[in-house]
Parts: sequence; C-alpha cells; structure tokens
Amino acid sequence: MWALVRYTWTDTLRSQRWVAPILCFGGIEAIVCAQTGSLLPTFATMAAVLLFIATWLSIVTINNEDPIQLSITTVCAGSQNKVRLAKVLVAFLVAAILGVVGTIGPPVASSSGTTITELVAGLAGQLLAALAGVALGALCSRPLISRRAWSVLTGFAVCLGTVIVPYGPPTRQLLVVFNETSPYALGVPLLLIGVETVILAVTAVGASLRIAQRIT
Amino acid sequence: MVGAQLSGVSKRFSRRGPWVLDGVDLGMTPGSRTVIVGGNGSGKSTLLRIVAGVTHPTAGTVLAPKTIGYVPERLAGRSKLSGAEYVAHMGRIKGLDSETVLSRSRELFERLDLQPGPNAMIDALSKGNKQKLVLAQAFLGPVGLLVLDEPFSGLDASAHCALGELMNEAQAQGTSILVSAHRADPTVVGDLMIHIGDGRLEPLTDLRPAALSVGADEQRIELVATPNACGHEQIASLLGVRSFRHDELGIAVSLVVEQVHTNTILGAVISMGWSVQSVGAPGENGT
Repeated sequence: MWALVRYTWTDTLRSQRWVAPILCFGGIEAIVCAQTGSLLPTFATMAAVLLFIATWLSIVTINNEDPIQLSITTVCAGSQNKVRLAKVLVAFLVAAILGVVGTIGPPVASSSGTTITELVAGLAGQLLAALAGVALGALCSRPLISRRAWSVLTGFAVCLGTVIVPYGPPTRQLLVVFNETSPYALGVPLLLIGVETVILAVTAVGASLRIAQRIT
Repeated sequence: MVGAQLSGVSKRFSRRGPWVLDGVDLGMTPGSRTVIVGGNGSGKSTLLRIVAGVTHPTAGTVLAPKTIGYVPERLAGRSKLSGAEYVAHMGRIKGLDSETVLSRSRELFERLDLQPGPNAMIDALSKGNKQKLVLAQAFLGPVGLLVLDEPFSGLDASAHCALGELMNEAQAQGTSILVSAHRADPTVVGDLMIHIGDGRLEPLTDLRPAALSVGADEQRIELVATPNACGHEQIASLLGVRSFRHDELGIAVSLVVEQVHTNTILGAVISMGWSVQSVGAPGENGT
C-alpha cells in the first residue's frame, strides 16, 4: 500500500493538475481571513470552502492516471480496490494539509487572541470537511463519471447542496454549530457531526469501490 | 505454479448491449503459450483484460495466478515521470525490493534498447519506446502469467527479437503466456493457437497453406515462423522466389523457388527467423 501511495503522490504531484484547486483555496482563504470577525464562524466558512476544494482534489487525484495506465497499476498491485484506496488516501492527505493551513490562517490574520479550544474545534471542522469532500470526489470521479468536466461540475453541485440544505452534513451543520454555540459547549455537537461524517465518508468510498469494480 | 482457467466467461458492457464474449472456456497450463488471433473489435482485448483482472466478467469464473505481468493494447503516455522512475514504482507496487527492481530494469532497458534513455519523460517518448517501457514493467519480476495484448506492435526489429527472447525465458521459468495478435502475423507462434470471432473461441489447427504447383526447374519449400521471424514481404522479395503463399495466420508459408537459388534462399529464410519444415525434390508437387 505504501508503494502505491508513494507512486500516486509522485505521479499526481508531477501532473500539476492540483495547481488550480490549491490556488483557488489560497485565494479564498486570503479573502476570508482579511475580514476581521470572530474566529469560529471563520473556521466554519473555511471548512465549507475546503469541502469544495477537497472534492476537486479527490477528482484530480483519482482521474490523474488515464484508464490504460490505471489498468497496468491495477495488475501490478493485484487489486483495483487497493489502487483506488491509495488515491483516496493521497487526496485526503493533501486536503488535510490544506485543512491545517485553513486552521492556522485565520488566527494569524486576526488581531484578537485565540484559545486552544477554538483551534482544536477549527482543525476538527477542517478535517471533517476534507474527509467529506474526498469521499464525495470518489463518487464523482472515473469510472463512475468518465468525463472530467462532468465530474467536477457534479461534485460542485452536490457540495453546494450540502451547504444550502438545512442541516446538510457536515459543512452546513458546522456553520450552524460554530456560529451559534459557545466554544466551551462545542464538544458534543462536534463529536456527533464527526461520527456522522465518518460513517457517510466510509459508505461513499465503499460504494465508489463497488460501483467502480462493477462497471470496469 | 498454476496456469489459468476460464469457464463460461461472458461479457457485455451494458444491460442490453451485445455479448462481446459469449461463454468462453480456456485453459492454460504452466509454461505454455496461448495465442489469441482475431481482427479489430473481435473481443481479444476484452478477453485479455478479463484474464488480467482489469475487467470483471458479466458471467463466468476466472482462475488466474496472483502475480501477472500485463501489457495493454494501447499506450498510456501522459505521465510526467521518467521511464526509470515509472518502472521502479511499478516494481515496488509489485512488492519487489529496490535493488532487484534497479538491476532488472537496467537489464530490460538495455535489451529492449529504450531510446533516448531511461531518464527521459514518458510523455516525450516515441510510440515504440513507450511500448518498450510498458514491456519492461511486465517483465520486471517473476510472474505466474503474462498477458500481452499485441506486444509486438510498434517495435523495431531488435526490440522484436529481444521480446521474443524475453517470452522464451519467461516460459522456461514456468510462466504461462497469453498473447494476442492480428490475423496473418507470422511472428507470433504459440503452443495453442485460438481464433476469436463473434465472442467465441475456436482452436486453429490446420496451418497448411494451399498447395502451389511446382515446375520442372523449381522446388517447393515449407516454412514455419519462429517467434523472431520477419515479415512475409522480405521472403517474397528474395531472388529466385517464383510463388509464395501463406496460411490464414501467416505462420506456415509455402514457397516455390528456382532450383538454382534454393540454397541461398534457405540460408536467407533461416537467418530471418523461419524454420524450414521440408524441401521437395525438383519438380515434385506437394501433397
């Protein structure tokens, strides 16, 4: 598995297809951080942004190998699922790094003080959004949706849905909780959102593995 | 080491689509070479993809060794990795240790004559050299089965020869080989020759070309291709060849030559990688 992750990481990095989503993330973070406000709502906004970017990155990573190159990798690894899981893992790794950046950015830009509780809550929110985005990307990428543009557009549409729909997991819920709850009462709601997100993400990735296996 | 076994394998790509493969049975013993011959779109590549485990059959079962070397029909060529890096990654993914990967890939690059060299980016390689790279990853480590989809396409003469040797070496180590070819390809000969058409397989056994009439000052020569054989045109254009015919696979060739040139022609065809099956007496017609 390590060899697969290493290969996927290197091949994706060299392809430079990650540049657009990461530039997007950097630009939006700069704009969000420039607005002075309380920290938790900013974290919630950054989590919502990361959901979109993680979906995009996941599609970029999974679609990076063309189907022929993928067939060789699959035979070398001896399992289609292992190859896809390695791609999901690499996408999550990159999205998680952005999540850390998204957690550090707002307190650095803000003049007011930051508590550890706020930072931990912020990081948890970012990582949950990263996980949800990557899992959603797995459902929107090849071979489930074969055209790159349709993959990204479908991913964005679903992300938008989860942000707009009341109680949409996890970012709409994070927006509500981070805006309306005191930092000291965040523990239980965050834990619930976390459990729900992990269950949804595992289900989505599992479904993507199953469907991919059926239709190739 | 096990061979591979397909039982009742069928495939269609949509629920109401046509059957690309229709109840295919195929057995491969360890160390054997099976050649699947068929035209474009006959289902060869789908069959090979199913054996390699890349595509799942709609029905039927596939028993294949755990370790497989696979060369797909078309080439992947957009990667920004260098040839050496790519093959090294594939070797590590196969579970080979770095030293083995390094020494074996060096050997393979040299034998296949990868140009301009292993450090060139994949997306900058020519078609033939991309094919050499794909071959290198397939032959990197010991495998139970090699699945090669038209592996000779795009290769120059020396790489052609090197690939023939690599296939022979793998077979000697007990690796089964499943290789596909177009019709009339004299360069691919197997223990089992199978024709694929309409989603079904049928063995090809009759390799004898139709008889040619032989004049009084002429002799008949029967040839069979070895894995390193060159094409038909070179034989037909030799000095003294009066008529030329080959079977539908292009593997067995019948020549009528001028008697005075028989020895020169025999020497030439042997050096071109053909095996001489029989030489008739002057004026003798074949059976």
